[in-house]
Amino acid sequence: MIELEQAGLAFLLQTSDATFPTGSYAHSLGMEEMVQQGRVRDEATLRAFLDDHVIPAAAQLDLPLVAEAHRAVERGDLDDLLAVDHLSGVLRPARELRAASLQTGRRRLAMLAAVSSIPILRAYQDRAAADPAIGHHAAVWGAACGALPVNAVLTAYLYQSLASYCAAAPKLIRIGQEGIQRVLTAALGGAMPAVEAALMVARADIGWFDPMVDIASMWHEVSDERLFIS
Amino acid sequence: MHLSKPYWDGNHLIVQMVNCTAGLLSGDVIDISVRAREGASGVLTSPSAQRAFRVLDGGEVATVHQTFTVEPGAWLEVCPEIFIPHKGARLRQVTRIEAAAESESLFVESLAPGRVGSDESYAFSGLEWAAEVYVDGRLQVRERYDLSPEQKSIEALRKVFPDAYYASCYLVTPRLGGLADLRTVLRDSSTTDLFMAASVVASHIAAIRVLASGSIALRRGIRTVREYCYGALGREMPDWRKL
Repeated sequence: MIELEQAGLAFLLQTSDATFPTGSYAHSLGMEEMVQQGRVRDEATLRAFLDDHVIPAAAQLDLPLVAEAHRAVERGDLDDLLAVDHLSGVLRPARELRAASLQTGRRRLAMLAAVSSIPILRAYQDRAAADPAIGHHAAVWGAACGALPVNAVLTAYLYQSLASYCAAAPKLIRIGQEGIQRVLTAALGGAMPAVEAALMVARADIGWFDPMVDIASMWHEVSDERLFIS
Repeated sequence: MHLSKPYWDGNHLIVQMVNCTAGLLSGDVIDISVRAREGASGVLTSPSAQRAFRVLDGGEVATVHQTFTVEPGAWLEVCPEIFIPHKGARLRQVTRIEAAAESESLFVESLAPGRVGSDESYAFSGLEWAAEVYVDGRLQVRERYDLSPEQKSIEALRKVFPDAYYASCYLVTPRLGGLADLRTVLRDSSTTDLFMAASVVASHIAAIRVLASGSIALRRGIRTVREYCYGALGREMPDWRKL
């Protein structure tokens, strides 16, 4: 059970909506190459991809980073937030995954800073403006939602993450809108334990092992044909 | 640990390192610190597979801490033989690589699923693996995972290769810009039983992943990676003098 005030809910809906400009629609985060390899090809294999790769990685990598950034902002600790931001980058072993995290994060941060008056967010944006290696997506998400309940923040992050794969899927495989919603519904149904699991991960233990996605992302860098940036 | 008498093959000082016991046992603690000094050229390997044995319930995990420091102008290759975790093994390994921006190095670590010939595949209890690569004191890459056979990551891997063998490599060099074909060479050398990929993940660092259906394919992959790296950097392949 998550208690969330109306204004907080509205903020989460606004910033996780596709109209919030982050450029995430241009990224498949390795899925395009998994399609090229024939590992994702239909509704069943898309669902398996989310279950086997995306949700476990969220539980051990992205969501714990969001939670760490959220805690840093709760303490008003910009230096620690920047440490989480740096960790969000170095834990990604393929260039495109790292670049995607940075591109979407920096766009989100710039937009949030433009519409928000939260001092730490403005300071974070100032640092990102001066250093192109600052502004990773998970850290920005956690920082932006520092005033909201952490479970709600992580749930919203997980939703937008799964939704972005589902938004990319129709461009890559034969699947209809109904199929996409079936996959998203099933994935969300099975994903909620990832939020609780993520809150138990210590900072030193954040990380995930997925050589298939690493290799797919690395091959995508040199792919002759591609629709997505990553 | 036992260190062989170092051997100079004309290009590199080759050192073989081996655990004096048959492998890592419950409660073992190994602390390794290696420094390649300015202008040195060294290769650290092992003569045979490294093993970790079963840890009984309540037993202490075996622990390996290793730090490799590479000073400016030095070359260091670290390429031990494959690590084989036996059924019930529990191990924690922490690796720290500290490279100067003007140094070059290649690190290769490979993992078997277990004693496949004895029907032990992914039967270990747990592997906690951490590796960090620093260049001029700045953390650039961090790997951290906690592997246990029932995890989704292993389950997903075994859908591709039931007895998947894995190697993680890092090439550190300021000359990555001149290695433009690294990624395509590895991709194009991949086969149905061997996947290889590389990415220039940070300034001076290429991350390389090798995934294979068996030990022979993995060995072929590691050889491809090593031959490419030595050739592209204009270095002679070392003579390991292994039997």
